[in-house]
Amino acid sequence: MIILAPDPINPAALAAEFNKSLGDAGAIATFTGLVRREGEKQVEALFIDHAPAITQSEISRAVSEAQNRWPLIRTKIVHRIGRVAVGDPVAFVATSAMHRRAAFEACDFLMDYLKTDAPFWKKQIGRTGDEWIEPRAADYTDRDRWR
Amino acid sequence: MVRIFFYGPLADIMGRERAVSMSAETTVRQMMESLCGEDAEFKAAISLMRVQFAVNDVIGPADAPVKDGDEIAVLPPFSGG
Repeated sequence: MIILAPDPINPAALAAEFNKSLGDAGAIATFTGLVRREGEKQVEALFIDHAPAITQSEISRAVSEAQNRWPLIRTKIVHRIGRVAVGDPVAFVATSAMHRRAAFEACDFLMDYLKTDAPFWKKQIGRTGDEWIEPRAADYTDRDRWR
Repeated sequence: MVRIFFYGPLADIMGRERAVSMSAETTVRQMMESLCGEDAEFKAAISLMRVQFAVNDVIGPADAPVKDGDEIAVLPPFSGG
C-alpha cells in the first residue's frame, strides 16, 4: 500500500494497523523519517512537491522490485506532500517477512529509493530563504549499495 | 488543447499548469522548444537540468508524439523525499 497525502503521519497508529495482518510473518521492520533541523540554514519546514500519478506508479515499481528481491509478505509506504514542519514525520515505511533479514533489507532499500530516485521535489523553507534541494552524496552512496 | 504540467523548481517559474492549443500532431521536444522561445526564464532553467518528460503520466523520450488532448509533465531531476 502506498499513500501520498498532506495529512500528518502518526507512526504508532500506522505500525499498529500494519501489525494487524501478520499472516505468516516472523519479522516486521518499520522506519520513520523526520524533517531534520538544519541548524545553519535555520530550516523551519520542507515543502514536498510530487506528480501524483507518476510518483505513485514509480514508487509502485520500486515496491515490486523489493518484492522480487526479498520474500516479503506486506509493505506499506506513507509519504507526506506539501509543507512538513521540522521534527514532523515525513515518511513511514513498513515491511513484513518470515525472517528479519528480508524485512530489514527491504525496508532499507525502499527508504534509500525514496530518498534519491522517487519523483519528489523538495524545498527547504527557512528564515534565510527557500531553496530547492537535491539528495546528499551520502544518500546516493546508500542507494548504490543495492546495485 | 494540450495541458502541460510543471513540477518542483519549474513550477515556481511556470506555474503548475499551462494549456497550449495545437493544430497538428507534434512532439514533446517541439513543444518545449516553442515554450523556450516564449519564456527566457524557462529556457535558462531547463538548460541547466536534466529534465524528463511524461505524456499522459508515462515517462518517455522527448521525441514522443503529442496529440490534442494529451497531458505533458515536465519533470526536473528527482530530489527524493
